[in-house]
Amino acid sequence: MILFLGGRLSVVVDPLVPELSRSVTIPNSENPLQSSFDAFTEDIDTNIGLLRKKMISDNLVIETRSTGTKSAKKLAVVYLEGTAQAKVVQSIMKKLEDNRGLELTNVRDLTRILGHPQFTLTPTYISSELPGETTQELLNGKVVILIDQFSFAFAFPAIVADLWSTTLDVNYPRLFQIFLRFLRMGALVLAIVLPGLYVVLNSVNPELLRIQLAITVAKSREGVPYPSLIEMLLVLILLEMIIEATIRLPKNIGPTITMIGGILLGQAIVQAKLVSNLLIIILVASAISNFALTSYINASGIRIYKYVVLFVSAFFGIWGLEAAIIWLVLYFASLTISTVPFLSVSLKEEVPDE
Amino acid sequence: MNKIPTLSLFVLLHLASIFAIFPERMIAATSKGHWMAITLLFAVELGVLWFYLKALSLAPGKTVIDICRETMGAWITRLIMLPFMTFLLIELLLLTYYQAVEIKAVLLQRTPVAAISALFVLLCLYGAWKGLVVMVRASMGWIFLFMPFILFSMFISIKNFRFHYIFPLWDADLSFLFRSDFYVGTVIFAGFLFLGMTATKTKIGFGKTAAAVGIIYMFAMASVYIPLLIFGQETVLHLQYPMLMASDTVDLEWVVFDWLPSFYVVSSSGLGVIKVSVLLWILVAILQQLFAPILDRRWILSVVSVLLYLACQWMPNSGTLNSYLYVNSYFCLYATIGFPIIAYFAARQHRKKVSG
Repeated sequence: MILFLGGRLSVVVDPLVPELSRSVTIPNSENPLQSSFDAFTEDIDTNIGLLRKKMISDNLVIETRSTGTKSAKKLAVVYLEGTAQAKVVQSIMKKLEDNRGLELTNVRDLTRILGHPQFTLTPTYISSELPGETTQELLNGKVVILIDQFSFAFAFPAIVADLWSTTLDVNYPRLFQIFLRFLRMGALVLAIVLPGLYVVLNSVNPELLRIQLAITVAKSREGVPYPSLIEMLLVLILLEMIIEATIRLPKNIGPTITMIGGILLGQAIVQAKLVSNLLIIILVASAISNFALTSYINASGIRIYKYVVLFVSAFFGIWGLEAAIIWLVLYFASLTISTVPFLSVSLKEEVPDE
Repeated sequence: MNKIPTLSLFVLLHLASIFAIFPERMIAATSKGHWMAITLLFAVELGVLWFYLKALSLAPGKTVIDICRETMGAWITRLIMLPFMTFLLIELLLLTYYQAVEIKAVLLQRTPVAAISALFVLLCLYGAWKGLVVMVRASMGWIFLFMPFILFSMFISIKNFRFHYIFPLWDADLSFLFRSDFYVGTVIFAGFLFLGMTATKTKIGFGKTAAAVGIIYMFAMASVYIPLLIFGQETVLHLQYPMLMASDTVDLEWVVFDWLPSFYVVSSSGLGVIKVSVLLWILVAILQQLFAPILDRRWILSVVSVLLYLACQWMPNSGTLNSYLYVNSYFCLYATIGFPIIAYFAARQHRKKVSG
């Protein structure tokens, strides 16, 4: 800043406005492999700049607008013209226009402004901290919304393939990418059915198993005083608590919980004959497969739905398990986000949807 | 509606019959040359399908009910649709009861039929509630989830084949034509009725549909000949679930599951759910359009589902199922053969009216 005092005299003063935004750093919540490492910051102009730098194209459309009456919030809608479906862009723009008076302070406000159903099993968007990933989302035909003071980009709408594919996969060799995606699809199925299947094979339909295996399963439960549904619920809820406890703890206390949880769910609970050791195996496998899905938020619906599967399976055995899966398929088929059916294969303009 | 999901729903609805009712009826219909009976059925289906699709293409963007109503008036259409709806109603009841009993017999011996059918009807209600478009979309999910089970449970028993059971191949006097079991087999046709029930601009070509019928024909042949080649005609005639028993004749050591027929029941009930939901949706759509346009579709659907559930409890045993199957075969013949032809002539009239 330069101050002109009178005619010839001028004084140079340091900037009066302090810098309120942090600089571009590496991502904090994602660990990309073989990709660019810069991440979005809180400042929306920086974020738009990052996107523009990553994608130099005539078709890149960036529309900024603001929403809210009590407090104004700046947001930017970014899409690739000709790649994103026109009807998706129109529906998002229309909702933003219609609901411009609504307050926008968090992510759920954004989905409400866009008119998405509030009780969905999967998130209706894909969030990312990486401009590189967001660029790929744009190329896949998604519409990205940046909100000021949010260091995440939200890509709309989510489709079923987002459960098992991340846009960072394209940086790997093709064969490896296919392998990874099939692995995640398998993880998806396991995450949904494993706890239910344990209860089915243990208490409702043990005759499905080979006799040797059935005996092993029964033996491992020897001395456990309650039905397998209660056993499963008890340990599942403990596991959820451990996951929840580790998320917000400072980095120097976190390992304590991991250690205590490890002891609790590892050996002690089995030795005390409170649960069977087979259950611990099932539990760990289901937790691992749950987190093998593409992102924490994405997998949250699956994490909740496995309880539905668990209860229906406990009452109706293998038929209940099947019914729960059928219900999930019907539910996903009925979900439509910003005019796009959730069970779409691709979002690009030229390929037909569904 | 997109083409591939529509065709996959078309295939799934046919497979639903193949995994229930169809094989045992075909085996009961004749003791020799089963392929002739099956081929005749599918030839008839191709013909009827041609009439039905032609009717739809003559009046694009209209349902068959619209076509009938606009040419013949509301009352005649109601009259035409009455036997059709009777067929749907009985078929729904039979299929639900059949599936509930099968699940109870194979998987859940201690659970009452009332509880099993409650879950079944609830699922179908959910499917029909969401509408046909959702079920068309979901059919892709069904293909991915159930095709492995379907193929697995059908073909694991192949190593037990005794090929001399295939003879005699020729049935010179077409004896099956005089058996009512043969006509019960026409329930398999119910799978194409949904094509004319939504107003859609997407034209489903006859060629692609015929190809789908070809695939279904393979499955139908397999479903009759697999149990036949394992047990022989004399034994298989007495089995209530021939396909299920066929998958019980093998012991695969690499599968952790011992009770292999459960795969059959899983695929059979999965297909049953989608068929019942689609038929339920059709029935409610007709009811609403023709008889109660002021009522909300979902109210009618809920009432019909509750009635379906209650009727299911009222069925005394699977012997009653058989007698109803025979009664229903008359309605079935009307709904799957008579009705498409009526629709075809109505559509021709409709076209004349529009152009003239």
